[in-house]
Amino acid sequence: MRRRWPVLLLVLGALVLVTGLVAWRATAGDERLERAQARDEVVAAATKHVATLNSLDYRDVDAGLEAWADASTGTLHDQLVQAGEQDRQLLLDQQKISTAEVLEAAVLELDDDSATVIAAVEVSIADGATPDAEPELKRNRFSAQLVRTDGRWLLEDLGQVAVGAA
Amino acid sequence: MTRRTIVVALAVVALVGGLVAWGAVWQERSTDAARNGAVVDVTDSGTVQREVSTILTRVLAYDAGSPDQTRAAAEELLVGTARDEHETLFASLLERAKDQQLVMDVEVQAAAVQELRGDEATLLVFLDQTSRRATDQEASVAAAQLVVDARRDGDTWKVSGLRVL
Repeated sequence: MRRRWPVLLLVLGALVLVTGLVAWRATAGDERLERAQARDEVVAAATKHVATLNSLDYRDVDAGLEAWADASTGTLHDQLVQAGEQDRQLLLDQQKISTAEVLEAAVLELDDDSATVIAAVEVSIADGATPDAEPELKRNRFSAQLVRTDGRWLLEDLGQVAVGAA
Repeated sequence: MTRRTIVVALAVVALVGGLVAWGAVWQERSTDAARNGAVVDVTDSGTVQREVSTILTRVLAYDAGSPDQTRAAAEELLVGTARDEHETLFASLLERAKDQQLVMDVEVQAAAVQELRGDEATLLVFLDQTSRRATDQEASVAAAQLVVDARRDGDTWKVSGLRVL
């Protein structure tokens, strides 16, 4: 028996190693975990991008438009880029500083590479012409479509959830 | 080196490797994301979404003609701090409602689960409140966003917290 313990230890080691590796592989391929991770990623991305698309500072319109383009993809991206070029002067003239905050967001639907997220947003709009005035606060509710492109979740569509739309 | 030393060394390497693998597995499965069943547990998420929507349409609706209906629904479907929060939400409305003979209807536009852990859930809900004056049928619609806590009580979900955004 005294001479046998190294072999028993080896058997035990092998057992722990094999079961550990099997469990580890199972975890890596676990759809539930992947889905949970994707859910949290898409909420984080939507929170960031929806805020971005509701924010613009007339003192740096170019940076704002660039951020819009960077947060979006597909037709929405094209629309934003086009609108940005057309309305650039208007945005400058209006002298508004919009700062949006996503108060809450939640995933309504989630597929492998696309998702629908709803978000409650508060936008604060300050007027550059009257910097002393209190900023106007607006509450909005949005529904956002996101797609995963090259590992990044980007906005493909963004619309307000209108009253009486159901 | 004797054969015995080699065997022991191999055993230790295997043991350490195995424990590292198990450690990684444990860590992966105990993250906050992994413990949250929202969206992942499709059936439960769908159930709580439906039941909470139904509860809200019942406890936030109001008919000046039968005010006790709302109160009875609140009594039955709300638990914990949601009772007081509902009371506060309704206090100002009740004053108006009595005078103007209001009828209020609630329609849920969207409800999505943020967190689902065992028998507790948190949802984000968008709803429309339509109020109609019985006197002249004039209607107005208000949009509302709420964070709702829910608790599973046996087979059914009840609302345990209401926070208007």
